[in-house]
This record gives sequence, C-alpha cells and structure tokens, in this order.
Amino acid sequence: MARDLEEINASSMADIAFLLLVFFLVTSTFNKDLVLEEKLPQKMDVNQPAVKVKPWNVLQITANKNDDVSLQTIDDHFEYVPKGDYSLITEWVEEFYKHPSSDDNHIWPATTKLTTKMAMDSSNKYKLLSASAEVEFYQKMYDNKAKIWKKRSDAAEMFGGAFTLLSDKAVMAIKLDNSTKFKTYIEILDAIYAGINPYRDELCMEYFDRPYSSLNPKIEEEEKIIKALDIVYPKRIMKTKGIAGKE
Amino acid sequence: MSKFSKGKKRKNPAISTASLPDIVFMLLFFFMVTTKPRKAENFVELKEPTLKETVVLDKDKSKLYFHVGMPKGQKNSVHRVFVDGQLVQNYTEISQYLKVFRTTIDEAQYQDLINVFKVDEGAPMGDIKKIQDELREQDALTVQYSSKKK
Repeated sequence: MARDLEEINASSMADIAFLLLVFFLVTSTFNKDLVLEEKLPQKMDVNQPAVKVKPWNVLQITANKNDDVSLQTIDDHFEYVPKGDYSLITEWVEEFYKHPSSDDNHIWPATTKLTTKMAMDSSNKYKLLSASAEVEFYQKMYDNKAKIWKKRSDAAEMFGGAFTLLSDKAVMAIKLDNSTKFKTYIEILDAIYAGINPYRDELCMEYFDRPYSSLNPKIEEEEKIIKALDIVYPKRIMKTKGIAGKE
Repeated sequence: MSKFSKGKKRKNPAISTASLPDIVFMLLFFFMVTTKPRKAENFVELKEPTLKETVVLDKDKSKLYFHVGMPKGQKNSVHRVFVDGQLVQNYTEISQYLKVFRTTIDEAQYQDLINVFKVDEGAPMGDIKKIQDELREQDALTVQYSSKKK
C-alpha cells in the first residue's frame, strides 16, 4: 500500500508573505527631496546701466577652470581656499555679515543703523519722486525703491525698531569659469549659506524664541518673519563670469 | 436510537487560510510595481552633491525638473540637459518651453514655480549658466538644486 504523501503545512506562508510586505514597505521610504535654493537675478533691462560694485564692499570668491578656489576680501587680502574644505569661506562670510558693535571699528562692508522712521521717510521720499517723475522708466525705478524701503521699515519694526542695514553695494561675488565644475560651485554656495544661517537663527531666537530653520513659509505670520530676516541678512550673491585666478 | 446524533457537538469548520498568501503576495507585487523612480533619472547618470545647509523641497508648489548629466552607459560623452524629461538640443528651447508652460498655469502659480535642478557634480557651470539665462528670460527665478544631506 502506497503511503499517502503528507501535505506541507501552508499556514505559515501568509506570515512569510506579510513579513516580506512589511519589510519592503518599511525599507522603501520615500526619502524627502532635499534642495539648496538660489534666487536668480532679474532679467537685465537693456536701458539699465550695468551695476558697478566698489571693490571695498565685495567678498570675491573665484573658482577657476581647474576648480581652484580663492578669496579676495578687504584691502585686497588674497587667500587660497584649500581644496575640499571651504570652511574658510564660511568664516569670511561670517565676517561679512557681522554687525559692527560700538567697541570695534568694523568697516567692511559698509553698514548703517536703520530705524523704522528713517526707512519710512525714505519710502515716502521715493513715493513723492515717483509721483512727480515724467518718464516711465524713472517712475518704475522710484516705485521699486519706495517698495524696498517700505519692506525695510517693516523689518525694523519687527526687530525692535532698528537694524543694521548692509550697504546696497555690498555683495558676495562668485567668479566662475565656464568649465568650473558644478560640485565646486554648489559647495561654495553651501559654505556661504553656512555663514549666513547662524545669524538668521540667532536674530530669530532673540525675538521669536525659535530658530530660523524651523519657520514654515506656509504660515502667514512666519512667512513675514522669513521675509524680514531676508532684509536684515540678505543673500546678496552675484554670479559673475570671467577669467578666474589672479594670474 | 435517532438517526441524527445530538450528543456530539459539531465543530465549526476552520476558515481556509490557503488563499491568504496569494492576497498578500498580490499586495506586495502591487507596491513593488507602483513605486518606480522618476523617468528622466533612468537615462541620465547623476551623482548629486552632499551639502550641509539643505532644506526640504516644497511639495505643493508647481515644479519643473531639469536634469543635467551624461547619458547612461556613455562614459566619455558630454553633459546633456533634459527639461521635464525631454532632451534639449538647443538652449533656446528652454525659454520656448517655459513660454508655453506659462500659459497653462495662472500667473501667481508661475511666480511660485520652483525649477528643480538635478545636476551631476561634474557638469560644467557654463551649461548651468546658459539654462539659467533662459529661465531669467521668462522670469522663472527660483532655482533649487537637488542634493543630499551631509
């Protein structure tokens, strides 16, 4: 008599399948997309004269075609940045945004102490100029300036009635060659942000008891704070093209 | 002596679990099939930079994806640009594309448009600059570079 084949117990099969399912669900997390933001400058108006920056207000970062990075700062101070470690840039950016205190003679770059009233006065002045301007080009220009000063007055209001305004002419210029690698550029940008963000955090902590990085732009109240911080510590970065290097 | 015995309690027949694995496997396969990466990433070789100051990409805003990298499997090729998964032959196509795209959504949304750049570390900045000049032409000024967190 042939012996009956024993049936394989399939009841644990479901457990195994569930285990697989759960494993894949857990491991395939949708990793959030992380990004680094950059605002491009507006399209150049043909009528608009090219902006000339005064060298004493500029933090110049140069990356040449071989991805060698160098810095040029106050009084033509020139330094090479070691490859792969851009913390030197962060340090200089910190210096760039440092608000002068009464006990040091910090002159680079130029800053002014701005109060709400001063900013409001400027805004009103430009409004009047815009109203009396006859050429449309100047009207637009004055309107823009009035808007900028209004924003500055709002920012001053938010941070205790006054803040230290960075000169309009103060910029961080990144000079690139066409064949500079993207990796070099983005790491320079990252190093610059690493210099600015702590200042924003600090100011935000002081007035709102929370760091800048925790603000949510979707909440109107917090968006206002972000915009105000943008005015006090603007990401004033300029990308320029040119033959890199000092030689 | 009755024909139908009352003494023995009848047991409820066990529910067959034999089909359970099938159901679960079906679920498993469903998830495996539906989770696939974005299209353009399939044909461009990308090595994204690792950075410190990254932020999370806003999910709700409208986005346009730019891929810059070498075509997969071609080692000594040049970097190619893809807009929304389409290969760009000539940079002026980008502003043309944006011009058309601008008409499909309302202006307020367009002003919030995020241009997501997925760029290979080795791509030359000259190419990036050319793309961004085209973007400025159509006032699309927000650029976010995709990266990894250090």
